[in-house]
Amino acid sequence: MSIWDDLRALALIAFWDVRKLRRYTFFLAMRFSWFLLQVLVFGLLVANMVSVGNLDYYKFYVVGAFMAVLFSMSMVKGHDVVEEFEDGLIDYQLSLPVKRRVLAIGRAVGGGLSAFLHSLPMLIVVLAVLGIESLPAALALAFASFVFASSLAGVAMSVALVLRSSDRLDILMGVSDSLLVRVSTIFYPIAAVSAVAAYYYLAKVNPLSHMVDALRLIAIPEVVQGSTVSSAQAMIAFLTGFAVAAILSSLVLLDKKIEGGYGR
Amino acid sequence: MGAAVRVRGLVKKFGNFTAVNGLTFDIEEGEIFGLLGPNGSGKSTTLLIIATVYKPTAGDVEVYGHSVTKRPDEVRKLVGIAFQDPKALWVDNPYELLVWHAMVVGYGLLDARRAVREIMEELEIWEHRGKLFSELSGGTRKKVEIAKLFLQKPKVSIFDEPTAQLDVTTKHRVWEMIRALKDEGRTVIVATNDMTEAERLSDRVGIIYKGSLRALGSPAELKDRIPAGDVLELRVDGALGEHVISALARALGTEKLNVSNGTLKAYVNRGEEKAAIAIETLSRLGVRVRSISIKEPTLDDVFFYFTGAQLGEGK
Repeated sequence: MSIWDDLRALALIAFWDVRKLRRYTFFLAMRFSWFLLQVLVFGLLVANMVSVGNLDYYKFYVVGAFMAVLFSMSMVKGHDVVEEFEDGLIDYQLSLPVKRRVLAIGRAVGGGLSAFLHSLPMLIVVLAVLGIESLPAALALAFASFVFASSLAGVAMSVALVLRSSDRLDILMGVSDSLLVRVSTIFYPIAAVSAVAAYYYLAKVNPLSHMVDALRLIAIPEVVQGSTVSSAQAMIAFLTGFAVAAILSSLVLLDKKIEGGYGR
Repeated sequence: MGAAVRVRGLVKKFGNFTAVNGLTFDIEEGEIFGLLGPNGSGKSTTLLIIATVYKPTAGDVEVYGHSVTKRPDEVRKLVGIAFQDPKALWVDNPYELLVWHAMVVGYGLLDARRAVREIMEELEIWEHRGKLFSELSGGTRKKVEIAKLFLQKPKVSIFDEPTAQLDVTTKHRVWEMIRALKDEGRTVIVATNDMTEAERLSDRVGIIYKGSLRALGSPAELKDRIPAGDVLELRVDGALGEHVISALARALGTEKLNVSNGTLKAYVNRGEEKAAIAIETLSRLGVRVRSISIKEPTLDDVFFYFTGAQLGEGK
């Protein structure tokens, strides 16, 4: 099989997740309504109550709220995988004439693409609220969101393949959502949490802190210049490492460990 | 022609449960091989290992020389499987799912659309193309599942209970389509617990029971292997007690007796002679015989002879 055959297979596998968009119509409508409420009502109220130096907390908060949605949408891909395991669809995919590593990357990219597409209406709201008119900035935000979503979806899918249980996954996702989102710079600037050492260091190593601050550097550099979790170069290096680790773990898992047979 | 599939010492365990226990057999290139056994006998597990969905606990399977443990990517290029339970999301529609499948197995978009239409028309499911999978009947779902394999046409096609839930007319059409795969030189493996299906389709049959292979050969060879060549079938009034069955076994000189739904089957030599002995023995024991017949053994009888069980028997 040539590299082109592999790329073609990868695109088709990625399309598996994208074509399922319509199953989420109600879920997406709810998420979008909640996001509008969060940004246009709650965000404005909070911004009036919180003061962090000269930081425009509302703009800071809006990007954070988007990152929280992107994280949540990507994690939903784990639930998709467990559901597919229960329905025997993972068995079906494992039987297809596709290399396992192509299947792993394809599902991660497809999951990321689908999470990104689910979050796109919210991204458009963010662009409008922040007044971003620059096309390169908008495209850079979209691309970064897609890459982050793919990494997170890859992790969520790998965890789901190991757990093979919607109950266990629910618990883990609840805990990870509570911990990872809260112990990060999604809603609180790194300077504001430095008073609590444990919180500060956990936020520093949390991939979500790096992801959200990278998005802020693209979207609102004038607001967050000098107050991100790390320098731009360090964030890029951290996130690249995270993405590579996420993909490699998915590859090893799917290639060496995973087999079909839900409940066996 | 050589072996398309070589199964060697295959073992598959799920925790403490041994689903497949040391299977060894070959499937010849270009044959239709029937894997016969009741639910839970290890048929599907064996097929899923051949299709690289499961990994063997011990032993190996080679498909055209490629090991499922060492070169699974190569094996998947040669093998396709239509699962026992149709695989689709409830939001899938059959047409889109089949086009996607066709493209994954190598078709271009236009060819995929054309081929999917042809196969859906052949299986008479074209009018259901736009429905959600959740809206389809069990039979239609099954047709969508087997359509995947007729589109794919791999060198080794695996059908796991292909005609379960299908009406008689469709069943015959599917059998014809499976035979057409063989006529094209492809190897076909059919797992079934339907004796008629196994007998009508298979060049050779492997009888699998409790994870072990109990017999292997063509349907005719397997029937010939029953040493007592006749099957005495008796219908009696009332239930048959253990003492009656024991007495009858002694009188007929066979231990191979099977009682099911008021019918007693005995595997005997010289059927006519033993029929008279059976009637006399039962009369002496006060059992009224409603009917008696002497038959050639069927695959059902072969299955009972080699396993001591009946096909309806589950896990």
